[in-house]
Amino acid sequence: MDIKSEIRHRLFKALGDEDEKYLIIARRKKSFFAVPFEYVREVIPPPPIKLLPLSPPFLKGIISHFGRIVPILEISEFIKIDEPEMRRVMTFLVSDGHYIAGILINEYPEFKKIEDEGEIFPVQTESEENLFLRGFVKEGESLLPILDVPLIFEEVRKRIKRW
Amino acid sequence: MVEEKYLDIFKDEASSHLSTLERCVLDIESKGISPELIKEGMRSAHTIKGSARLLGLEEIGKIAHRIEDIFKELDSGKPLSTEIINEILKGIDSIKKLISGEKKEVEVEEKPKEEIKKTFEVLRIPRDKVESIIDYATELFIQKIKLKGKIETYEVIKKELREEIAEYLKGFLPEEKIKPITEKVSSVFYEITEDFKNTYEEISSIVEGIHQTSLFMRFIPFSEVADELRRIARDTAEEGKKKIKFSIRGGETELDKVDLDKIKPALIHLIRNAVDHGIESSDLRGSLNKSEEGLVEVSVEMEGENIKISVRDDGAGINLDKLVERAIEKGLIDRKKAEGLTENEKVALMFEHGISTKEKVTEISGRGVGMDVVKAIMFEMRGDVRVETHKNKGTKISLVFPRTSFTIKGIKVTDNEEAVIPVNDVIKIVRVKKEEVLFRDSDAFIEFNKKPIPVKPLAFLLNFENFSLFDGKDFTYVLILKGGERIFGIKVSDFTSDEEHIIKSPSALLEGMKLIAGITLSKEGLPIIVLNINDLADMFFAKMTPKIAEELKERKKKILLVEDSITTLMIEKNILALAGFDVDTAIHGGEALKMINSKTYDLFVLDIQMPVLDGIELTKIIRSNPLTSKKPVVIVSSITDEKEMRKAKDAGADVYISKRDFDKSGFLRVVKDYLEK
Repeated sequence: MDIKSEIRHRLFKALGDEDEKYLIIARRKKSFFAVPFEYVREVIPPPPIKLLPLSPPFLKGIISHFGRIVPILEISEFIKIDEPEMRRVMTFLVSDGHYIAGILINEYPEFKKIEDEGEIFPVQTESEENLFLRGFVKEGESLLPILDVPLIFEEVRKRIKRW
Repeated sequence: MVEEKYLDIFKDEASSHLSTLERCVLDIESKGISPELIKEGMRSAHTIKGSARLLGLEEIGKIAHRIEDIFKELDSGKPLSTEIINEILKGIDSIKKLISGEKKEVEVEEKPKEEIKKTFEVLRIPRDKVESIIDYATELFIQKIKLKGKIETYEVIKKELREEIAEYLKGFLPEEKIKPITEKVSSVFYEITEDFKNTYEEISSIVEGIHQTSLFMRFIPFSEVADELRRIARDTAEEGKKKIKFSIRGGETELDKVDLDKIKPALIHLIRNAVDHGIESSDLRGSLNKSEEGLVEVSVEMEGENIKISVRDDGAGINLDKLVERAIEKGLIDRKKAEGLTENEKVALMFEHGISTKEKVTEISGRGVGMDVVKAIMFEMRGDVRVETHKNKGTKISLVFPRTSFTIKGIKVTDNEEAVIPVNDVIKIVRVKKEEVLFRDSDAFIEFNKKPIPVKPLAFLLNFENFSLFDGKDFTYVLILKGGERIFGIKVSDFTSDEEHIIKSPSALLEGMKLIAGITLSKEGLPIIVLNINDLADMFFAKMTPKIAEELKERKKKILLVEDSITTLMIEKNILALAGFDVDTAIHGGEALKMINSKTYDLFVLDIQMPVLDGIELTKIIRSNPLTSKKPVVIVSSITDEKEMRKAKDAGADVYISKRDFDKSGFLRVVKDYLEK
């Protein structure tokens, strides 16, 4: 872990009880998923996205966020959401302290406090759809996938090098 | 006249050889003559002599030659005396003085660096005025490009007018009377365009110089802040009653003033911490067998496209246990969790607000305010802080951040999407009529400099939708580009004059993405891609009919240049590379031999006196190898001795050039002639 990630890690530890965790529930197209709060920097309306030539399908393009170049990722390429595009889109800026990227979402209706680790169900099968998940969380009657942001960043780097 | 870039290389190289010479002489004086020391000293003197002569620095060449002779005399048995040692040392001192400018020999095209620095120290120009000069210089640069465009237009008009007049007069005058009229028209236009061209050439270099200089006005060498940092270190040491030795490495690295201003508070904190926290008292250092003076060094270096500024001390190192105790006291962690912390996790605690290992709060440091500021500054600059610490050995804290103001001159083109093409990769922009485009299979070509140049729409290459060569018009614009050795044309629907673009890093997440050299921002703040033309060329030729792409491949002649003097190597390499040759270099015959065995070369340029394997032996090997036996060997050496020249010829060298008589055009002519043979 690089120093910056460690600082961030320490800061979150210092913010409250270690057992206290928040997830942000978001919707992409018609599917809901959760992102650990610690990775979400900002939620912004989508600025004009610049297409990149010959880019892989998971890379929607880049934006300039206050002069900083941020790649925009299509999360449905990582957790398989095969649904048509919705009109209203916004962007989660997520960062692990080292990399930063935007994830397109359609809404983020609520925060969810995780009282107990037991509320998070581990990934059982290593299917392609579960590769970039930290686990699942129960929301009403359904189980929502929780994104593993550092793992997605790692995968983005790998896929770009292979592309 | 010596070009400043070569003079700088020579100064570096000569300084290193002078140190070697000095060491050899002093070793000889204290330990006595040994063949190794004689050989080493002789080689250094010889290299200085050769490079100096190549640059026309006769005085230095003469002194180095004398030193070389003295070493030769010692080698042949002349007894050593204090007078001989003194003579060599005096010679070394004289060369040092000549190099530093203390004594006059070196006449350079530009002001010596010291003088520039002095001027800079006197002139402090407000930033808005600098920006305004840059704007004017850029505008001037754009006008220069426009002028070039006008010259090209006159060329076209000349051609068209001649044809039109001939066509018009066809019915009125016989053929033989039309010709002199059209020729007269051509010659008038020729004179006008030549006149324009000459004026253009004259102002071109001036405008480029102004433009370049104005852009770099924003950049200042790191050493500009050295005095301020030195003073901070000195004052901190004095207050703490400590003795320190402060040094700066890489001070010549130029940084954007904006970056430097941002980073300065962080550096000041690090230097204060290094002196106040890191360096121990003289007594304690004595008891630890350390020198009385503590070392504090600030170094600046480039790490890829990042700048790394480090502050290193040879003090006590960070007391990690104390750091953890403070964190527990502040309630940031409990004792149980503290036990499980790794070393890196402990180090990370120093960036928490309010944490300090200093027992006593002083005016200087110890309040725990500072490292969190350093962290915040680096976060803002998209940088990183790296810490290395070892008990009783010291600490090194590095600030690594991207260069934010890397600029290039580029032409903004549009073909569905906008992109920027670096000006250096553009050979020419041409307006092409529909009838001037020829097709072979599905590949389009235009004629340029009497050669067929393949053309494709940029939008097609970048996989954007809706592409065409003419966009429904009768003409189109084509940028003739050079990607490596390949020349090709891209059609664009529109383009702007070239202008300066500030390049931003495309994000570390996208590292390795093809076609993207960087990202710049439009006036509206939107990202625009700066294209990597080598990648674009790969893409271009991959999309051509394979057979035709193969035919277009043109191989550059490959030359192996073997020379142990870095100055000579750089000069010869630049001459050859600028003339369009593909040049590989080796610094001695042994290295060259390995390269010859793994690659094919069209010609060899060799020095004679080199370590490991000299030029004569290498020539013999080249001649005995069936794969290289017929390839030309050009010797460039400072040895003018008839016997040595004969040896080189006998070994199989085709031509022998003396460094004393070296001139660029003569050297190139010889290389070209032998390659044509």
